[in-house]
Amino acid sequence: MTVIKKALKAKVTPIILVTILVMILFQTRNSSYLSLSNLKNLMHAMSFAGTISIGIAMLMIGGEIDLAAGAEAAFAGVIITLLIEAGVPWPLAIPITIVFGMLCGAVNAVFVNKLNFMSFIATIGIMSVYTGLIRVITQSKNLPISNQGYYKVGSALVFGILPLPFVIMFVLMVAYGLILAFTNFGRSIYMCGGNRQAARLCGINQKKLSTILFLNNGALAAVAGLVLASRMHSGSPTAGDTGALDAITASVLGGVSFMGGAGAMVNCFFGILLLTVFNTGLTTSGLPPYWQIVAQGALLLLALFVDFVNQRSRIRNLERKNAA
Amino acid sequence: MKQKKLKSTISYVFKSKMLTLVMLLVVVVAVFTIISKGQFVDPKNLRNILQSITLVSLLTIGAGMLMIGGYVDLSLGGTGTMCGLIAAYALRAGAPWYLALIIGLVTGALAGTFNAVLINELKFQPFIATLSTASITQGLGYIVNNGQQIDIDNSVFNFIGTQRIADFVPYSIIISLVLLLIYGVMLKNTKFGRSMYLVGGNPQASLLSGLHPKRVSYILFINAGSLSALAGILLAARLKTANTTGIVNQQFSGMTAAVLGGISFGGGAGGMGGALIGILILNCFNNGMLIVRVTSYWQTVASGALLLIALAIDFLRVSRTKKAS
Repeated sequence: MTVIKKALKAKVTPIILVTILVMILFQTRNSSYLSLSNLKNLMHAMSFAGTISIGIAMLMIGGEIDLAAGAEAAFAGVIITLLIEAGVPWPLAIPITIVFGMLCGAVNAVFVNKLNFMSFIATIGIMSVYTGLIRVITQSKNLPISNQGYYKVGSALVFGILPLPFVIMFVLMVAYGLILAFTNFGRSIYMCGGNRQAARLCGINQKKLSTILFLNNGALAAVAGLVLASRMHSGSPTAGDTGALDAITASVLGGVSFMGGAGAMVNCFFGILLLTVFNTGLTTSGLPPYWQIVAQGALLLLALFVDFVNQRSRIRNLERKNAA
Repeated sequence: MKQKKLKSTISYVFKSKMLTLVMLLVVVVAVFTIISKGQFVDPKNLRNILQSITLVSLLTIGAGMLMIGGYVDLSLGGTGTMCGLIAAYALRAGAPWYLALIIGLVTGALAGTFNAVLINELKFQPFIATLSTASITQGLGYIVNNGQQIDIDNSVFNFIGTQRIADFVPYSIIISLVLLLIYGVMLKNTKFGRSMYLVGGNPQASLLSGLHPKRVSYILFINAGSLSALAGILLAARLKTANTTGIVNQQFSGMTAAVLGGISFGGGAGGMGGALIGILILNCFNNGMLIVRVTSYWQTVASGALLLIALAIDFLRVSRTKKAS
């Protein structure tokens, strides 16, 4: 009984229920929605923004944000394409690209921690710089990857069913989820996001932590980008356009608080699942694509609203306890 | 003694915010004039610069006032575009020009109210709340006419959008300049204007001293929404058609101009005089890039870099005043 009660009270339960409801709804509109091939598509579709959302969620828990994450991912996709086309063997090109992603993260960290810019406005500027640079490098064309060996990263199936990008995202989510929940480092991220002043007084080096989170976010964005490049057989200049916003929406949907200090990887997973289910469902039921833009904004607002209600009930509970 | 006085005057002039800005403007103009071999200051090109200032200044007023009050609105571009489409739709449906204009402006005000409700009543973070309304308004803009543009055939709209005094100064820029002046005077000389700085600088203190930060925030968001609607409508009037790209994402230009002009992101500082020079710098820069034939990709890079530079200048300014005190 207590297990059931606990499950009902968990923050993530409503979103799972909503996801199931939405899936059933789309299934009634299009009977092939829950077919195996479509589910595979779903897994592919969620893995890009899902991988980015890991880094984004960690940043948000720590009280920062990176709006350039999508552009960083696209940049990484272009870089690995250039590396492979220049003859670098792909197993070597992958770590180089990840280091490149970390460099992008370091740029963010410099602006935010050295120059004290607000992370959201600084990363908007950086996003625009990267987006432009990517278009300069690619001349706004898709750069094809000719090394067929590299295609495997994006299209291989684990156990014959699960697409590799999905498995990569899932394994990373589990790993980061464990770090967040059980390590000193993970717990200090919450502290930093929840109450910066208190964290500093407890001896946590907030700037160092935020730098680590930005580097980490850059690396994860690079992973997302290089996997996507492999899946699309090319480095695409537009690949990352919606990446950061999708990842933020997914994190907030899953209950990562925008004020910092709350959230977990489980939430992130179900957040990105719901978002992807929604987007693919809208496409398969034949609505014009611009409804997706509206739906995205509406979903984000809904998520914020749920966050608001949660926060309020938490505060009320605390007050009641204090009064008693 | 005399020398000392002279020295302090010089150092005062150099420390003045306005002078740095004007010098930056002069440098931008000079550099582009030299690179473009005089093409930049050609009357034909100055005409273009005047035209582009119109829209950006409306967005800068809206975004700048919000920033002074400590807020931000990322949905201004989406809202303006949507309102341009709605006004054009009303015109096509047979509404007279003033009604179409009012419908557009009221829609903008409503979008602003919506943002203010999210931020004040539901306590959403301004930046993330307006990020979501940005995509909602942008999507709604597509829905107005199924993603198609709407042509405008109205003599008053065409007149405001395309006619110029002496074939040089567009009529629409008068609207922008007059608004800049009105808002500038209001910020400097009225009680309401001064209260805005207090609200932006320290909302808690402003509440304790009997101001209404919540009311101010509603007014600021509604104001910014209406101004962006006006910008969207003016653009549609100029192009004689309202399209779905309109001024989407132009709020960043407004913010960049405001920051360049000395309006701080932390709230509580800046004015419209600086904002005007910020607008001039931004537009001269953008136009100069076009004149020296820099590809549009590099322009994207440059617009981001300009925002970062503006922030860096702001950072230096703030840290210097901190040191001084």
